Amino acid sequence: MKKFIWTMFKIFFIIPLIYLLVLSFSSIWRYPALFPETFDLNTWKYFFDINSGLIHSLLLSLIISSVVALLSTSFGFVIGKALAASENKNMLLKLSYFPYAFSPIIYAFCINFLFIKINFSGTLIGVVFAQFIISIPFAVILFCNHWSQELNDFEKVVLTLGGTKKQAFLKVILPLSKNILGICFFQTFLISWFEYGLTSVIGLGKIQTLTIKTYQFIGESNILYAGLASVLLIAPPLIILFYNRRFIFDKL
Amino acid sequence: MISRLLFYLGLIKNIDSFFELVNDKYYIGVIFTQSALAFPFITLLFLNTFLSSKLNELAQLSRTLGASHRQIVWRVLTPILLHNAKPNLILMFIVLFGSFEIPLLLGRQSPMMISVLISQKFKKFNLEDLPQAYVIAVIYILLVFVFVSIFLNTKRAKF
Repeated sequence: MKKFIWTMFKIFFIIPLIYLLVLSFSSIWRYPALFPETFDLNTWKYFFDINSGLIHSLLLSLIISSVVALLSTSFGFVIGKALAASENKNMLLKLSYFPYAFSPIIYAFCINFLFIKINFSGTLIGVVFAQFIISIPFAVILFCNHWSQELNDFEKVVLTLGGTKKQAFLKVILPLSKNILGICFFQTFLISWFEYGLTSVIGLGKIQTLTIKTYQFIGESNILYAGLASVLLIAPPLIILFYNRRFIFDKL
Repeated sequence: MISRLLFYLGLIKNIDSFFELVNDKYYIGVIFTQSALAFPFITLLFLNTFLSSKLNELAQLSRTLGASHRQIVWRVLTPILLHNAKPNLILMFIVLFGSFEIPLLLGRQSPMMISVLISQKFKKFNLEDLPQAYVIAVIYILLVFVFVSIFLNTKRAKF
């Protein structure tokens, strides 16, 4: 079983990754050659060229995803607590699933008119806000399950023993929630990082994130630059996977 | 890459002999890519379900009671595994139902998957397409509403 899982993992994950890396280090790779005819750094030079806009896109994506992840995790933590304590918890939790389940592109078209009216369309703040809307349900669902009776009881014990609300939060709740906060941050970061449809509709092509750039290269049939952009695109998930490898691979 | 490899092995004569994976009639390319993307999630999901449902113990119990290997797999493990993983599988279906990027890149122009179709209708200059796009979006939202309701009911009924 373990061997089968590893074989499938190699086929579906490692081989495409190697292919992308090889693609990013080649200049000419005509069909049917099994390997590129030349290996050089021309494509990577394009990345470091300021005029290419790739560095700008990479930084922009990093900023947008970090802000979205930070906002979603912070608001999700607070809203999750309120939801867990609410009398209508089940109904509200059910409603939380809907934005999460909708296709982001269709959601984008539905909210686009509102965004045009409030001058959010084609702006950075508009893209951040739109991505926040689709990632917050995930955070709320995650934290709603986290805010158990036990966690609330811990907070009450601190208050009973003379601690302040701030102390209860900083010294008890936060350390106990550290792992789930990290998971939520990374997950919402990834939701935002890979978002294409919503960003293209709300950003109107003016907000050139890395995903927009990648699809642009694919649309131009520029496979070498598309390969380079894809390598940059999968770098953060790989870093996250590397840090979380214990949790994932130990089980396998 | 697969076609290059097959050519190298002498299994195909040129690129045209390789089966279509992009814009193909039966959406095989889209199905294959979506399956490949879903594979890690499904593996972890089934692994967690397998461990949390204590299926090893149940399999041992079945063996003790005289069940064959085949009976254990098909009558004990598979039904419990599918039943317990059902809510997440439905959720996965909902996400894949509205997927946009892969059908946009690999799918055909006609017929299109619903997200791509709505997107194309919205982007057209012909203003008559806009109401059509909203109608299709409403149909999509109603369908998602039904699927999410099924998902929530299944989640509640899970043992």
